[in-house]
Amino acid sequence: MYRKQRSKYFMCLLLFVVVLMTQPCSIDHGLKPIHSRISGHVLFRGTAPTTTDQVRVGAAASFPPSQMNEILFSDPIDFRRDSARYELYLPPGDYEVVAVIWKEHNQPWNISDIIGLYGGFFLNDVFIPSFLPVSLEDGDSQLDDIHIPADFNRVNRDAKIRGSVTFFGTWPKNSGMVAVAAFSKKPAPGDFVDYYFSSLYIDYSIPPFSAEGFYQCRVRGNEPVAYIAVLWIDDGFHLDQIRDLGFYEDPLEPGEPGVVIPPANGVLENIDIQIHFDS
Amino acid sequence: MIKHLLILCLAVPAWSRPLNTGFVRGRVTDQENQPLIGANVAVENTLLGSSTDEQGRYFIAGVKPGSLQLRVSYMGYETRLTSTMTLDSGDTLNQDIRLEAAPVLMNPVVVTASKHPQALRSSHQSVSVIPERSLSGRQIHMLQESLIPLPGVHLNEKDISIRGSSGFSFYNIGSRVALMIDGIPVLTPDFGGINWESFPLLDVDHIEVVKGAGSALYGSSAMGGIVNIITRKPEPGDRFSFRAQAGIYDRPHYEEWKWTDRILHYERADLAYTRSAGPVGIRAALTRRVTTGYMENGQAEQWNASGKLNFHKNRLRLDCYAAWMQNREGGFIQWLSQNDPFRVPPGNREDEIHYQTLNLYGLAHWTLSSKWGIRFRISALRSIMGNQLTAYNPGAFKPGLSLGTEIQADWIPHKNHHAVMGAEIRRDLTGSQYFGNHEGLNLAVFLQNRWRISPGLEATLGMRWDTHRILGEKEDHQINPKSGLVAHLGENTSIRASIGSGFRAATVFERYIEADYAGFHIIPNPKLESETSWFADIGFHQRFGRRAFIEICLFESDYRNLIEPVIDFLGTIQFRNTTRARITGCEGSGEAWIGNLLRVYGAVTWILPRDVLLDQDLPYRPRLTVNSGTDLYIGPWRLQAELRYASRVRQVSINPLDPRVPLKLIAFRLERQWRDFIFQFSLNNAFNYHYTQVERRMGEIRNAAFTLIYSGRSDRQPNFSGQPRI
Repeated sequence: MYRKQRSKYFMCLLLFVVVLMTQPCSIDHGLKPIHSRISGHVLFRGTAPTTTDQVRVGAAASFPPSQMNEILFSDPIDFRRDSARYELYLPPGDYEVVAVIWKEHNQPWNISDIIGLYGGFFLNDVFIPSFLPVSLEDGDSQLDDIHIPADFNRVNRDAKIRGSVTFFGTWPKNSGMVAVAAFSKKPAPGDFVDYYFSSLYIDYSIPPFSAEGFYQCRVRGNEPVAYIAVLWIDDGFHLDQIRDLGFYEDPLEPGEPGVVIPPANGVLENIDIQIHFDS
Repeated sequence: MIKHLLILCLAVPAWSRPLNTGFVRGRVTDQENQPLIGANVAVENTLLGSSTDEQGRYFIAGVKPGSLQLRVSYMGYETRLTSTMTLDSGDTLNQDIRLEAAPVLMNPVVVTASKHPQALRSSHQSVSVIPERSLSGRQIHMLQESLIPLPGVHLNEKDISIRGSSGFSFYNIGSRVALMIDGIPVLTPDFGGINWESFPLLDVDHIEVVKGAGSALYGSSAMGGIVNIITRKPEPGDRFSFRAQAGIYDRPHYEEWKWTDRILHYERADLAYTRSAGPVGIRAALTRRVTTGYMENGQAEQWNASGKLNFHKNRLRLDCYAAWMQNREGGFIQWLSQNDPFRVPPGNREDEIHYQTLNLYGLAHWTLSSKWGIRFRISALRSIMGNQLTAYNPGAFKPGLSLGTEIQADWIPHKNHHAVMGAEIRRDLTGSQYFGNHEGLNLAVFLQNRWRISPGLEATLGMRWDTHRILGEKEDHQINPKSGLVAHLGENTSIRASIGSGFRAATVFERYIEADYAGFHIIPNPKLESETSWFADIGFHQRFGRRAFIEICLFESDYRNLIEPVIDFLGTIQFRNTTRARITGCEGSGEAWIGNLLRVYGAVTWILPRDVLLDQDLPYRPRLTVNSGTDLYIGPWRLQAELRYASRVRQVSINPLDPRVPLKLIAFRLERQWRDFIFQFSLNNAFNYHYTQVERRMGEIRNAAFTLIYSGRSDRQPNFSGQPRI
């Protein structure tokens, strides 16, 4: 008798659980799809280099992002056409910069390979790097006319500059990365737009804490390179903490940046740089 | 020659027995006078002991005349210490013992914290025990799921973290928790990782989890804690058992996430057979597991086989164990996009991972006298990972081989002291086109003494010296001390405290890997140094009769030179000694029976896992985890509801902008016992909650499973599943 009664209670409880689970109530299901997005066309100028691996659109809440993984990327877009449609799903928020980034085969993503910016424009066939923010107010916001001009000429590099970098003194303990960058003009200190858009190429191949290293910057031939600098980034890889360690000096005017013009399809050698940490 | 050696081995134990001794014999039964098979009976303060046969009988020879007590333990029953008895020289003492079923785990005998059997409440370190009945009662599909309810333990997919020791690394690389089988380390020699699938599920007798650094006895990798899987012994008589499980996955909650019309499912079957005749016992087990997974490329096929041979004569016990595993599964590194989270990028659709492992060990226990015992083991682990990080290439990895031997002596110089001392040698051979060929050598000696200062106070002091070397590199020497104190403030109350250090030597993978995988370029760092840690904890245990207990523990760990994968903004990964960390926290657990129908249990852990240098949380460590549940017993039915919660992690390493949510999982389980069979049904992730524990890898979606267990001899077992009834 008692056993029967207990079974009855149990069945009631089971029924209660089943009813509870089938009721349409507000249940938290955790992660959900993202519906907010920007979309538009990337308008290419120039021809994609044969070494092109991928081209994607990326957005960052601030510029420069403190780290590369703070850029949200779209799927790869078709770079073989003059104009390619893209969609980039983003969480609601403000995005200071929307850019087109090019990636070479067998090379990592490189922030100096930004080939287009939302808000940028061409002036006499020269890409002028300026940018406009976008804002997605809520989870249903969709901005459909975010068209971005992009210039493949920035990455069509036929010439090379090579040299060595010799380090003297003690490396800072928090060194994360050193890079050698070639610029078309000397960037204004602290102006990250200059650092990341005026750079023609950034080579990250020299490991930190080395006594000496060799670099190679790929640039466009017959065009002046006004400033070749060794850049330093801390071990947190904060892009907004980038600093100049030193630069290639004019042999005739020590202390001043040396301007070089590599030959088309050629290599300019022995552009050596010395870095003195103690000074 | 071999024949002569065998005769010598068998004869020496008999010679070593002093003539002026006596015998103790008797029977161990439950409260219904049914024999308990395999119960442990030990003469207190000696190394002498025995286990019961099919009729529940035990026999202990060579007992020194005088007063003695017996400690009798059996999982699921209250451990009992008999009153003092007197044995005369040459006499046989008959002592039958009746054990009471314990609804909560009552002071079982554990072996991991001190490398010798001791009552749980005498352990100076925090130890959690998962009995086999808890494994089957929770209807687990994979072994690691059994660890989820424990306080202080968190699983990030397959990576185990004890008190915040670990975050996440693909393939469980460089585990800071040592996995052992019967006390023998089984981390893979190249990756230093845990392979949970290496053993058939039915081989598991129980699992002991030691929290806090265990390097003072176990060396490298035990810096966060130890998971020791104790395998079943061959049982008296013969017995066949099986467990079969079939499950089906639901669709994602959001229709737009649906990615296939196929029915996604999982199955596993486990078989085991055991037989003993005289001094020899055998045990064999077989497992087959197949799943489609719940996401693209989530399929897996696995085989396990194992065998155990046991020989027990006089004071000599030999155990030989072999476990083989072959697993082939799809690779899922990151999802295609948050709007397509159950698919992999097209370039990863063919990714497959092949594992093969073979674990072998031989163990000899020789009780020389009531005061001296020797334990000798040889072990070998062969593991091969057949995937190549980039594309299928069976030749990319050579089998990693770890050969080890250890000798340990137990000495009871006085009834209040138990000393353990020993030495271990391990040689690791690894090779891969990704990290080259390397050979490692590890030598260690250890010593520990447990001292009963007074009847209510015990102290432990121990130390281990390790020298670790990868040939061609400089040697690494580590000394790890530990000490602990346990105070029994009455029969039901105890307080314990421990302090100690730990270390983990960098693995071959972490030092030498050079590969491109899923968009990441991984570069070597041969200069990696060992990680080190200090920990201290203090715990309080209170029992309320046989129906309830609570346990609270406060802890702090200090880690130096933590090895973490550092990702620079180019996507290049390198393992570096980057971090100094301090993890402070507390954990509490408890269990209570309300009447005979309702059982409630729970575990709460709160940690503050700080990276001291960066002044932020360590990645992939939730600050708060809660696991709790309730069992309702009505007649032959048992209904269980269980909640698993983990707060949103504050830091991740790869994609910090991705949305993250806390973990909120609810499971319902139903069970009915009928004769030797148990029928089980489970509904996991009942509300279809979508979450990631690691960026861009969706957690398991709602699924339901049916399990059938045939225990073979449940009439002699306390209860095969769930808790024993009062």
